[in-house]
Amino acid sequence: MKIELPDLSLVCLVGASGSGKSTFAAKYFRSTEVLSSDAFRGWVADDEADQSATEDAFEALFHLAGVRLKRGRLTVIDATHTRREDRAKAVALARAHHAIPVAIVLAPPADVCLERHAGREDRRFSTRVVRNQHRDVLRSLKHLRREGFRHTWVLKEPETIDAATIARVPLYCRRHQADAGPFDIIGDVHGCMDELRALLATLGYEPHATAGFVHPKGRKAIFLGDLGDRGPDSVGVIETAMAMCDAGQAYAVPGNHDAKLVRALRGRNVRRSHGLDETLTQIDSLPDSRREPFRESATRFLDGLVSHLVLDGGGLVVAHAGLPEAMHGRGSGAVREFCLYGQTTGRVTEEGFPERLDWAANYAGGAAVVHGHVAVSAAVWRNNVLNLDTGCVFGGELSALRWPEREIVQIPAAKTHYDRGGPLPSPFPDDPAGGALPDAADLLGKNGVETELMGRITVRAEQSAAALEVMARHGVDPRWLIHLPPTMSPCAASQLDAFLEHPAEAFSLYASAGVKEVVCEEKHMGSRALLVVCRDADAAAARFNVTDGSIGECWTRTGRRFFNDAEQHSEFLNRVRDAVTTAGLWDELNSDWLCLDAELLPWNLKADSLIRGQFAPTAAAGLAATGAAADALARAIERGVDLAEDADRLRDRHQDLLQYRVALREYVRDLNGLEGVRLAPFHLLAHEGRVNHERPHRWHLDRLDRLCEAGGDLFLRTSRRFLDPADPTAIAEATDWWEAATAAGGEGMVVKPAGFTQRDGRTLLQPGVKVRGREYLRLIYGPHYLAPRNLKRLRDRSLGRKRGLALREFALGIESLTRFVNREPLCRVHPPAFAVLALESEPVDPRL
Amino acid sequence: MFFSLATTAPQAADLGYLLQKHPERVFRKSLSVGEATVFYPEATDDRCEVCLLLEPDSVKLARDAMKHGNGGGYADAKPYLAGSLLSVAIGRCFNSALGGRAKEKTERLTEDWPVTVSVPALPCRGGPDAVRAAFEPLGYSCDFAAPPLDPERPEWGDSAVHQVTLTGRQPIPAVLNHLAVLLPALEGDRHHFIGDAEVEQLVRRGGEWLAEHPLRDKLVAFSLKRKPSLIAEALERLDAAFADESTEEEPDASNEEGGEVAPAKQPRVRLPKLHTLRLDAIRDVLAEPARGISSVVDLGCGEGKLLRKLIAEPRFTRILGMDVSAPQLARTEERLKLDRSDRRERVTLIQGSLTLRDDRLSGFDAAALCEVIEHLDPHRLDLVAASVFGCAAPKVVVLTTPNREYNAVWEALPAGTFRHADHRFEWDRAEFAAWTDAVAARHRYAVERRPVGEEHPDHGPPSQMAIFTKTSTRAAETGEDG
Repeated sequence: MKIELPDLSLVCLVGASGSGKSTFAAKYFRSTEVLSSDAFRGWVADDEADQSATEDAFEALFHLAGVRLKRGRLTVIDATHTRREDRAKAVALARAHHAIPVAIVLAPPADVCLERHAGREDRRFSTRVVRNQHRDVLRSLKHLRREGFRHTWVLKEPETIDAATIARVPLYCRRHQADAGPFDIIGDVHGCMDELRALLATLGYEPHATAGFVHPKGRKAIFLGDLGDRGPDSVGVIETAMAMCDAGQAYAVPGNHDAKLVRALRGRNVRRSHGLDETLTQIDSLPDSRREPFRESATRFLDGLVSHLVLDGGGLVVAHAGLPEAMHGRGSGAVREFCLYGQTTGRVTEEGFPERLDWAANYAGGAAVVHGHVAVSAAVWRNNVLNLDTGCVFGGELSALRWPEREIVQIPAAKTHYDRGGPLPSPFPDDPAGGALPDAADLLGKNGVETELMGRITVRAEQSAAALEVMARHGVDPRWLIHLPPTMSPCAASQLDAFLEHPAEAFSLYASAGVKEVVCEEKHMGSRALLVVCRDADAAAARFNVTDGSIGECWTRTGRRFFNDAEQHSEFLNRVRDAVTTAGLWDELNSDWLCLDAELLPWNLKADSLIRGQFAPTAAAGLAATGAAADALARAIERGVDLAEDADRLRDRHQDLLQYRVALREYVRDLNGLEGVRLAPFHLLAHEGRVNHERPHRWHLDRLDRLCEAGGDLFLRTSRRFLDPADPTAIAEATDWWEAATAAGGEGMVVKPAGFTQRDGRTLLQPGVKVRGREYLRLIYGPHYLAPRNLKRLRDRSLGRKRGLALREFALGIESLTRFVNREPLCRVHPPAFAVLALESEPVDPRL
Repeated sequence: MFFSLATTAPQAADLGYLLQKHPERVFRKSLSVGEATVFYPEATDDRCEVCLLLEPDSVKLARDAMKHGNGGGYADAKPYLAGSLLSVAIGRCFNSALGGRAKEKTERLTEDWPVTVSVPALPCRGGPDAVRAAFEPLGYSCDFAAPPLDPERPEWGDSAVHQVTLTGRQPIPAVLNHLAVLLPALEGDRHHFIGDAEVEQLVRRGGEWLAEHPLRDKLVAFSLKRKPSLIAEALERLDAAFADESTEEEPDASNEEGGEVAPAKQPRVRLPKLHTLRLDAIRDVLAEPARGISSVVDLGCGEGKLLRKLIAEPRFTRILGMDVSAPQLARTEERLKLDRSDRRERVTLIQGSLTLRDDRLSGFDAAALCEVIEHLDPHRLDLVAASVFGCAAPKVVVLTTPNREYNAVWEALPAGTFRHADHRFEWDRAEFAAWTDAVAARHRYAVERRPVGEEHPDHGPPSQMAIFTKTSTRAAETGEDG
């Protein structure tokens, strides 16, 4: 006998003791797939024959079976299953996990069982028990289908049992899993034949005599169900879909209207409401020659549709009403019902439509889910879920999605075919803010984030709590927040006279890690800024779900909007956008958006109150106090008191403070609106389809140079030098370059491996270390830090914690971008970005 | 870090005897707060001037500050200021003089000397007025000069650090005691530990003059870092030692519960009783029997003043307080004694944010937002409305916010400024009406607005309240669509 077993089954082996179940199981299944009641009795009671342990053994067995099914593993239960209630439990378990309950009955003649029973010493029960079991098995045969087993095989002869073969077949919904398309997925048509024709033409399909429409490049259409009802030509639409599917040019999944039409065509008593009446009238008015063939073929076609389809290697799931992840690629009545009707709360909205549970709000699955069913005002991606029913029949649009291009194509309705009694609702039913409200549960109480670069990174609850406060109070609209920048460590302390930081330390760090080339980038003294810029507001709406007309956002390292003035904010973004356009980056990168890592100058743009409230007063107070003291000392010396050394010291201190003030003045510039504001981008972090952390810095800087050129005054090009960190001549030149720049008031430089993300063996290298200038460091370590006594102590600084943080934050930042680029839902994009902020609450010397 | 004291008293050089520092020598001392140097730029019988120079170790200061979690690190003017560090140095260098002791010329200790004290960098948070208020009652006249913050940036204005000259006739020990007590009090923020020893020292140095000082309570409070128990002890001891008819006024820093309050970073305009009125108004709305409210969530519960009122109403059987600050919640939990068995089940505090969707907030009859929205960036208000009215969606939402028009009534509030430094906006009545109407329409609520506090004929009430009531959704009926 050939047994075709669905690959996600819960197999119940049914048979009396001695019927050969265990032998059968060992022959056809992996040992890990088989859960035997005997073995479980052994595990819970150290005795496989201990009948008193049966209850506990089954509890453990069912628990394990449930876990396996949840993970999508075929599972075999090797128990007698002679009692109806035992089988019922198995069926219920299979249903709970949307697996197929299957029974394979082994019923060799009773004598065979008894013979085997007699040969076993570990069975202590009497032969009567075996006879009863055998009788029960035979009696149960006719009930199995009604008990819920979707497939049953009965093997009665020992020879048949030996000769059986088992083939595993995928569930219907996964039969086309390997088909990678490309596809054109079409939302609810509802009898709008004219619009469907126009849409197919726009998508490039050509009419065909028998196959309806055919795409010259072999693309396939996918109909998301609800082909008919309400619209003017349901028959035409169903015929088109049917012809295309039969010819292998299309797939289709059933919708609730299709299911109801099948019932009507079969003569069941259904209410002719919600547009069904129109469809049935259209069918009735067909000429006699077409009516019956249509009824028959449509019934066969619609009834044969599989609830949902998993396609493109598992990356795409299509279902009429969508599908939560736990049901993907599975089969059960519940799955089918969800696919057809979705999930409702039992309440009704103002317009009289059922209120729906918003499963997509919490969707976090890997596969993109494309569905229809609920007419909404716009087709927008949300958590990797797209609703393509844009209410064509209600006067909206007929929408299609090009897959894998993810491009949405729409045809406006020719007219309102059916009055809905109100405008189409927002595509964000449970999130009135249009997807902008992250869920507290995603951000609080999580203890770590998995990253591609560094594995799991731990974030403590109190760190998350601190980050929440920062983000909640001041953060930008979270839909933009796809990244926060990592902190950066300085180089090790220099032992050179009168230097705390010196390029030599940075070069030797990378040279010793085997880095062949580094880049030194001028460090601008401003404030770190992250930007997302979109080609236009439509692109922002499509990719970021931000529909208020803005084209991007610019935020600080704590996620706060940079420009408080709304006009300045949008003027700034417009100018950046225009520069990207002029530089031709949209087309070159084939992206409608990009994310820039930059420094925004001058420093006083953001730090004005800090400068006026802390830095400048330090100089003012210091100069006043040292000035007065120096004056008094001079008068005392004049009359012969021995204070010469003190006077010298005070003069030095006064001089330090003057230099401190000069250093400070370097970073303060006049501002008038955007006049005086400069943007110095140094990473082109990400764009559609790609995070650029593995592209060399040359790639970034080349493109950013063009951007700076195109952007004129607003942009500031970053000077840089590439060198081998082990080449003494190159090091000497770079050191001169650094000294000249910092002597002229520059903040310093950042030294990075030229390849961006680099490893030494398995160790991730610091993506960059900063080497700050001598004068600039007065602002950080105080005016007198260069005094030998101070410098000696300041050199004793520990970088370990800072470096660890820099790496972890880097990995987290790249992770959030990667997830966004991979179109994972925001609830997956935010945790790593949020974790960067959480880690920043770690107490680390802020001067590093 | 520096001050000088000059006198033109007869036999001025006797100052050296009173300070026990020889005018022709240099006195040096290593202190925990830095290196102290005492010297005399001038010492004749006509004029004598003594200077105390304290050079703190800035590297050590920064390290200590970081160790105690006081930020630290970046630019800090503290080493140059005549504040608590200089006060410590005065205490260590002039200990005998402070105590009114000398070895010779003891008869001149109680004599009034004409003195001029120069402090080149005195931090005065309250501005020159605060310095005057501190020194003038003691008989000094004060002169001020403020250097520009940066001469090249005139638009930045003058420095908040002032050069102060005090002149008066005082006994020398009194001058030193005045400086030792008032310099740190004026500086206002002391990060180091304060305990009983500081109370002892304050009472000893302050003595009678502090007991009778009109700003006694404030000065004591600032000196003792606003620690209520220490302040109370110091005041009690000053009263006992120098019995007088001093006022019964509460110390400025302690609040009604007697709990500890961190010094406000920005001066805050005192709004007597308005906040209580507001809390009562919210409580009264929620407790109206017709509304049938039994569960309430206080969004932005802060220190728990509204929660306290809600807890006192038995009709509320389930109370949830949410705040964005976890440390604040920990303090509130303690203050409200939520570990009491009758409150443990009834009252819960959670950390959360109005800009997040939060399942823990659903299922409540009512939500209160008492003076919360004005602390949020305006461009996020729509999100907040979505989270409160769209997601949590309680039957009733009560919300209060200041009425900007009324600010004109407070003379103390400079025109055009907000009531609180953290306010992102303040609305007039029309703006409030427009926003509340829009929110109500968008999220299907009915809205009613009420004044809170006594209404001004032109400027309206000091605070404004909106009561949102959810309009009933249609009863469930089965239906199929698609």
